[in-house]
Amino acid sequence: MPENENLESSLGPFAPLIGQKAQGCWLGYASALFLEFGEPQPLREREKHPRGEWSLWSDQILWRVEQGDRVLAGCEDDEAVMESAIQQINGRILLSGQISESTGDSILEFTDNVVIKTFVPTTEEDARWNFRKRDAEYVALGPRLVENAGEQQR
Amino acid sequence: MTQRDAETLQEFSRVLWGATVWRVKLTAEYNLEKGYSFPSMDALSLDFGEPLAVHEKIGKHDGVRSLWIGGSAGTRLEQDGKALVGSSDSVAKGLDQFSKLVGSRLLKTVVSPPGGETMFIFDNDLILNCFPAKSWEDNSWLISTADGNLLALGPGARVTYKTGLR
Repeated sequence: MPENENLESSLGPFAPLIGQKAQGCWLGYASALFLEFGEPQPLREREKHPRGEWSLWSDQILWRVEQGDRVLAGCEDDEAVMESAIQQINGRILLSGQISESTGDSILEFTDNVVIKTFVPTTEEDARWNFRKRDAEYVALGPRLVENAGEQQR
Repeated sequence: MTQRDAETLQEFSRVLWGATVWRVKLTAEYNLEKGYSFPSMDALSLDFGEPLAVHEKIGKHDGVRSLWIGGSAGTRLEQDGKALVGSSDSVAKGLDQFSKLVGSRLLKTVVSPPGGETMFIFDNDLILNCFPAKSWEDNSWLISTADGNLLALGPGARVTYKTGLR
């Protein structure tokens, strides 16, 4: 295994995003959080938001954006509050990402103490992060899926 | 919510530590639409107290205290690190799994700032996790006591404590 792949494996499934800048993040239907990383790509037909080189979006998970000792927004807030919090993610660099293999809960830490925390409230539905990598490979990150995601990376 | 708020809240919540759950109440919400309907879990309530030695068909309990979790908060029951049920699961699964809390003794409560995530840790390796999903809410969960005291928590708000409500 090449050295850089070893490093990626030790950093977990969010490894390709570590050190990348979030830009163009947006709020989707049903409070879905779309995080775009890297250079914005040209809009494709019928797209309203430019994709980043990497995309990460939430599906059926609860989330909150925090900064220091403040909660900026949660997924049950009014749309304006959520939009405002998402703007605080833009321009910041992902420092670390962790996800629990058993529950699927995750913590993403950005510069300037901006943190996204997620919570999986179901054992019956597919609740997860969807991760589109730069090479267009798609990976699902959720309960019982983290291990599979690692295998797909290889 | 600051670290100090979280610590204050934990101190207040001691009123439930060591107490045993004798009843779980699960509230379901039914959404009825034309040609379609589905129930979903709405709120979870745990009644704590010690059984009184009375010979009646319906048990009586001393010093009843209650914990209500609802509002925007998501909840999940775990045992030995494995998720048993979450608040977005079906009502049928909720009825089946949340009943495991009956007879469990609450050991302690852990509250984390600033969002107010709360872990209710029970004696049989059960953990009830509560995740507030709003930036501001004054009652993601409530503790009420038989003598009329009420403790409420919500992210962004400080602890609310009211006494002599009855």
